[in-house]
Amino acid sequence: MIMDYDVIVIGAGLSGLIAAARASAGGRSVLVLARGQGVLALTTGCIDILGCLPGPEGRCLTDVAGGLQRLAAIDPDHPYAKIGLDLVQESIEFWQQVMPAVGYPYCGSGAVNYLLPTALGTVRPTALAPATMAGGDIRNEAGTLVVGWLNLLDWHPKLIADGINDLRNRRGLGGAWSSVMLDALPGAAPELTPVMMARFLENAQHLELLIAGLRKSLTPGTGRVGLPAVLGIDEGAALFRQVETRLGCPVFEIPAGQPTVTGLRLAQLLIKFLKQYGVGFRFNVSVLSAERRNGAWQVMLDLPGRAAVVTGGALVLATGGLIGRGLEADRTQIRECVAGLPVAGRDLPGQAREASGWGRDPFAMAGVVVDGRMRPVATDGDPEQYRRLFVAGSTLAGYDPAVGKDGLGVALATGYVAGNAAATEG
Amino acid sequence: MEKTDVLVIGGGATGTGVLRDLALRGVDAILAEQQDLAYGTSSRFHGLLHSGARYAVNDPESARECRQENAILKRIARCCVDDTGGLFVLLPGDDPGYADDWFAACLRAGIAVQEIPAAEALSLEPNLNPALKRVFRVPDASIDGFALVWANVGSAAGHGARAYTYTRVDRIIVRDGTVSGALVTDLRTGEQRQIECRFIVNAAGAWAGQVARLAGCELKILASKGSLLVFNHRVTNRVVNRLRRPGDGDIIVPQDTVAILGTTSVPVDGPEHLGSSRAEVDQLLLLGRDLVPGLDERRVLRSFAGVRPLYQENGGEGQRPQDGRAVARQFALVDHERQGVRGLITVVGGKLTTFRLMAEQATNLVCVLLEHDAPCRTAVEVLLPEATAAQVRQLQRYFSPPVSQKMAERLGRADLDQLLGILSRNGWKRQFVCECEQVCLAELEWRATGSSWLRLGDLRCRTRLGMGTCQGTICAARAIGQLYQDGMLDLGRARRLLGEFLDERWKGNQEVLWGDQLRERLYARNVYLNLHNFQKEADDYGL
Repeated sequence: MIMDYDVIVIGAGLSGLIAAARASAGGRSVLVLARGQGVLALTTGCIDILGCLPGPEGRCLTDVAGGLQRLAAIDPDHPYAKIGLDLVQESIEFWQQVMPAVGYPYCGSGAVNYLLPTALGTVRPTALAPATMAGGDIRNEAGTLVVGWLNLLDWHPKLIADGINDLRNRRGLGGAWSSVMLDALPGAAPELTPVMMARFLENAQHLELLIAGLRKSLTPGTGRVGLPAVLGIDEGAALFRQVETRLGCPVFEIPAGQPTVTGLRLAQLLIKFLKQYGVGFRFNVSVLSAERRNGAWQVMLDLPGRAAVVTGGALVLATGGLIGRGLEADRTQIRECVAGLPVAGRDLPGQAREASGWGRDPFAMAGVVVDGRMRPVATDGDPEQYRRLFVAGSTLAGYDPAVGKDGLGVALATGYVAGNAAATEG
Repeated sequence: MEKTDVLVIGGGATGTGVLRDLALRGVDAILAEQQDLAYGTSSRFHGLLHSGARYAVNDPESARECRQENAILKRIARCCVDDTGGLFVLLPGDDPGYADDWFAACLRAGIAVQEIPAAEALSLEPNLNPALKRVFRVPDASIDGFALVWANVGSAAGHGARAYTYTRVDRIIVRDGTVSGALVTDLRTGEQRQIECRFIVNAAGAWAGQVARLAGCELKILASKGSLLVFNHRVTNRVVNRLRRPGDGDIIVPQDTVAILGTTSVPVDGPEHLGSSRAEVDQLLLLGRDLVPGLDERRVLRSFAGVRPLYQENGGEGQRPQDGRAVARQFALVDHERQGVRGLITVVGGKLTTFRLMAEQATNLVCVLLEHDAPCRTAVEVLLPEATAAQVRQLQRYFSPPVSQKMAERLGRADLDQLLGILSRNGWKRQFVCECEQVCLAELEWRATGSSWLRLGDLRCRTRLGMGTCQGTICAARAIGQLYQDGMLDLGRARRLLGEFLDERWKGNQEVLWGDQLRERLYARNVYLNLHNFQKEADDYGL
């Protein structure tokens, strides 16, 4: 293992992977350190740039570009406002260059939102969707058949079809969705999670059985078929294309269960791609500490039976928030776990009383405060201490993706800016 | 108009106990409960089936009652009781003299108490404070209040009794000084109707004062709130009591997959103050740490509170005791005839362990007044017949042996028949809707079709769905999805029930948001608000 890199990235969620991609594209040697799989598998895998404005304006947005302008005006602490909208746009363009190279293209311009169905029969806005999902927009007029299997967990096709019809009716579009529940696929376990089913379908014979079953379910009115996101993990959109071609009918995926196949697929494909381009990865490793010494970052790793140090010219902290454990809360305070950066959001018992769960959440908003180049601000003591340290993704303060529907969008933009700064700033 | 001999008001352990007792004696009876069964104190306690040891010194009469009822319930209600046994632990700093007095008092009350060496206690319960001085074994156990109350009603229904939930009593009708019936409202439909009866038994627990007032009678009930904490695992496998004068935070009770630490005792104005404050949470953790070092570092799933209804015979005008524990825990049977209303009796106070005895004495009084001569059978008739070996074998076609065994113990014979029927028709309904508590789709279907319910929380209380570590994150959507898929809900109700359920689960962990429980809450928000863009209020999703 090489011990000296230009850039060390801690965290393999989307912000870490994008920072690594950007720094690598800038010609730097990059090492990604990760404790676990990253929380990408807990997302839909769609790049939500902005779905909802904070406060009373909080309705489902379709005009992302306009929404971003408004957000920058009313919410100066939001990471997008700090970065500036030009760089947000640049990060979207970077994404649109990278994903075709990954072999897993995303649809959408980034300026408007799709309205995609969820496994609960609701709808969520998102700007960039993988090709396997983008065909599911609920405003599409095609007669849509949602298919389920009795042995698949976390998937209720009738709830989805009826829920979407209800929303369509409220918009005066008329109900066009229906559902069918099929028997368990022969050879599959009596209880399958979507990830298990995706693995099952990576076997060509099993996929044939699925296609044969789907074919029988099609009616003359079926204009497209909605499936749970189960069409393989390792092979990107290949199984999706195969199903669509063989059925002769458009198909789309809806993420179901936890973890999601679409999130897991994106994580694995990106990691594989970055490895091919020479980015180093070290998984299942805990970082004990990170310190700036002699003009470089020294990162102390907890390896089995020993401790090791890797050094890097720049450090990107993309360790996640409270869910991903980049931040940890005890009964009185939240702390940042690797570099001990100051965290905005104190008086935890007081915050807890405000956290009903439904609105913008003080715990989700807590995190590290940075400037427009993702450098921590308001740090005590020697500024040299945090030189060439950049923070990205959920570790940051100032946004709540559960409400704003801006999680992977912020991860993309801040990861891009952090990677860029780590690659270029002297 | 509906007619019956006796109307029982209150669907907790006492009310359902009275209903069962009346039914077994052949008296026609109806029960009305304003919420779901076990809504009040019968589910808001630590789940301790007392051996009587806790009361041995202060209240020997209660101790003897507990001892007897403990043995009876272990015999008749095995499906609701986890016979864990209990330990009383003397800690350094606590009065060693009290331990000797207590031991002697236990012997006087006939409680099977036995001292064991400290080393043995620590090998049985390695989490206990290693500095403990003395340890005694007692026949304490853990009891499921929800299951008990439902079993009472099931048994009563088998003998012709009727129980109406979400049915509020608006007025007690008194003619010429005698009860003749009640006006009730079905809260689901808003419909008001009259039930004619000869007697009313007020078993409304913390609400008993309000019910008495419906007939113009005064009844002094002191409300004492007790807060409790739920840990995400069995901190101990036995009930653990701190050996000292009963106080706060000195009992740990294992309940299925979790453990409950209680309680506090705070005087409150009425039964509706059911939240616990952060200060109470902190106090409980601090006290619990004495029994189990590091307990305050362990994961707390939620906090909750119940109200002890304490009867004050001599008016207690304007008095509020500093500590509800100073008031005797014995129960009271009040015949309101002395206040000029014939046919109304109130049974109040006591504790869950002695509910059957309270019910027996209340029913005795009713039978005397009715001039109905029939002996009480509730102590001898099994409450819920147990699963048969054949049923367990059948379950093993669908589940592993340990899961089958646990299900069989929890459900009993009649419910298992229903469950096995559903599984034989739809084998795929073996799928778990709640993985934490191992509740399968077939059980959900049976509870949803075989009983009257209004909220998803009602099904939670009947199945334990959502009571484990994930607190509903995974199972709430699964349950709603399946109920909808099975045609048991319309869309609006499905969304409303889901929002309500998450709200209730989240309110319960409001005061314990740190560490892993905070992560779990944020993860749950990610699943519902973010991945599913589920909103509690908006029905058009802002479109």
